[in-house]
Amino acid sequence: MSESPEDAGLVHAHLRFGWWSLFVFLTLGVLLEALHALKASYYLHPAHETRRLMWTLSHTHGTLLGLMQFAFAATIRWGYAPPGGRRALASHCLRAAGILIPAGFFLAGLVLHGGDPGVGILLVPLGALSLMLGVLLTALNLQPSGPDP
Amino acid sequence: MLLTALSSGLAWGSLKLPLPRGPVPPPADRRPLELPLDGYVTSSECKACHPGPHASWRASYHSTMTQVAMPGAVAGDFDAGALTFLGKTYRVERRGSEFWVGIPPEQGADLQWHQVVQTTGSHSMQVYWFSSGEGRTLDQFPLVFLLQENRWIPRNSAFLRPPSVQQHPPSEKSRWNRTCVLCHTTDPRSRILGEGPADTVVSEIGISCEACHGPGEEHVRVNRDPARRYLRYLEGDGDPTIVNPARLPHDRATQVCGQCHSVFYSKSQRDYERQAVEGFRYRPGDRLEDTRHIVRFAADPADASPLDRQLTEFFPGYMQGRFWSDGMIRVGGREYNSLLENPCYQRGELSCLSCHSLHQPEDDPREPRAWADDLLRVDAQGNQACVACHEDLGEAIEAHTFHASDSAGSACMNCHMPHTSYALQKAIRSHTIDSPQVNTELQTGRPNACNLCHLDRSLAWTAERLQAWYGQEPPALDPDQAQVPAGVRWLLTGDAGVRALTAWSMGWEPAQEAAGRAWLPGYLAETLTDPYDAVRFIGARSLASLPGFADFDYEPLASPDVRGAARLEALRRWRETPQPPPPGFPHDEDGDFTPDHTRLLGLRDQRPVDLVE
Repeated sequence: MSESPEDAGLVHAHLRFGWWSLFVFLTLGVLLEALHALKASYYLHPAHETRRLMWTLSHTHGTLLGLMQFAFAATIRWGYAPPGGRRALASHCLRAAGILIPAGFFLAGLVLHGGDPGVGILLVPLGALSLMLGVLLTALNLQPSGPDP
Repeated sequence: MLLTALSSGLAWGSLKLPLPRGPVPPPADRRPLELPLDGYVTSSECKACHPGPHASWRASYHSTMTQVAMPGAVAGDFDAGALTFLGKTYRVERRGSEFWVGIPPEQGADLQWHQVVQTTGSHSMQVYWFSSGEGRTLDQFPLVFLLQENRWIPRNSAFLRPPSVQQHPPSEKSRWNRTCVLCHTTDPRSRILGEGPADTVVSEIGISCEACHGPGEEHVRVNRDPARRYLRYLEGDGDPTIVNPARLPHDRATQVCGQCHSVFYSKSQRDYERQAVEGFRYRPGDRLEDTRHIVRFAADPADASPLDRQLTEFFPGYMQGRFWSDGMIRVGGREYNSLLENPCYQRGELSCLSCHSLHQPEDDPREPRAWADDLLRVDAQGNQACVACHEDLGEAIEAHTFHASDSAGSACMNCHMPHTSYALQKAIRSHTIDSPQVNTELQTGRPNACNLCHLDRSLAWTAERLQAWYGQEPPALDPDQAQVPAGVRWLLTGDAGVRALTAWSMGWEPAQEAAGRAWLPGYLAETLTDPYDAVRFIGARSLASLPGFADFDYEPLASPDVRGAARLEALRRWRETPQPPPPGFPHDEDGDFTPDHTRLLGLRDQRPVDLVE
């Protein structure tokens, strides 16, 4: 199966997005470990339990959503991706989720309200909706053909 | 994975290996029941939204005031085995996660064994309770564990009680259900009337969030709605569904602490009975005196309230066990009574929260244990708490104190809140802010702040300075008051309460700096044979703080002969480096006591002192 220039562009975009996500959120993971090593009160004080949770979630979601970009790129590359406009929409949704969810968790941990996260947390449900839509579009519209032998 | 789990379970079963078990709490039907009622929900509900305050509360001694006896809660050495005091041998044992005490019976030889079900205290000492066998009524193990010294002592040796009580301690059965429960738990119902068994129920064991913030059920319910929570964050106002003492007027905020830190009494028998069944009617934010009587000791009985007069009639010694003769509280833990008499409270905005923080702020650099020791705010450790209002004094502190600005003599608290209360084998600062006056000491017998540092100076010396610096008219003094150093006079002639305060001050570094250390061992030696156990304990600690006595071998609960020998040994060691005494001391340059020493001892106030902490 030959790859159209449009598909090649999408594959490249998702691969680039995935690698940069991995770089950013693995770096965040290293920084969080450094905060442990330095016993940073801002991160480890019991009053900041929610910050610890939010930033850990940001790190893990960012990393896993980065890996998901590779999966989507592979789905396109192997010819299983949804056709036409649905493919573009799924692509936008998955990339939006890759930003909104980890960024929402990260921002939510910056300013806390007691045990509640900051208002940045509002980005997370938006990202979750975007993620679900992207995954659903892909799942429902997978092409049966697959790559040419 | 499921198959693996199932096969592992089958293999475990076929090998008949015991399943790992966590610690098992003592039987719940033989100890006070923890059952949240009347809108209380317990601290576990608070943690999710308030992790910081919850963590600092957990680090405070309030949270562990009462605990179910489990590993982690029990701090005493239960591997100690046999413990012999006053001719009786007790035993303590740990059996797995259980803690047991063996008590010698009145008659017979076999120990009576009881499982410890509950503990009280986690700061200075820990007390152990077992089921009396009657309902939920608890009885007390007669020995307590001193946490700093890591040792067992008889309960009555831990308190300042007359020797007769120390030798023949009264039964403590039902003490917890009747008395301790009122302030060492949250929302207590003693449910003990007359001599019957108790069916004590509390909303939470220990002094928890709702003791100070009030019942949390409504607060928890409405705040399950995240929109409401975020709206409140944005508005920045308090939440009307819960009480925050920091937002209350200063008197109501103080009363939140005063619900326990006061000498109080039920307003009537009917009130007492209702409280026993239904719990206290007081809720944080209420006016405390609407629902209970705060006891005040009027110097003139004619000024006393009818209930206070009744208390004095029914319980002789009730007031003397708690108050100095001018009405100032003399036992620790009752600071609300002090504040009531305080001009800064009466006319100003002073509250407990002016100096204390019940939650450690995040920017507090101290270790949580250091903060928890007295719950003082960081900015209240020096003079800041006072000079925040008394700005003029703060700007020219030396002109007011006549002491170097960086000395203990310029610390507001040392002159205006001296250590004249007693609790837990130590002196506690008075929370009635007053100014040192020789006259007050003459009228009440309470040591004055100047001489609690300047132990080596006489009352006449103090009177002269107070006249020169503050224009106080010097009172008439008898020869001993005029000439004998106050510390010596208090220690030799004072009652047991005064001796305890003096012995403690002799180990207090600012006093040692001001009064010198060389003469102290000769007089602290006298405390080693004091008839009051608590005085001996305090005296021994102060002695050990002096150069050359850190390793001094002394057991406050040894027999009188052994204690007498220790006194002589302390004196011998002191006399090895003789120094000429300043004027007024009843000893000579060789360290031998003059006849005045014996004469002063003969003047000792021998009236029994029973301080009710």
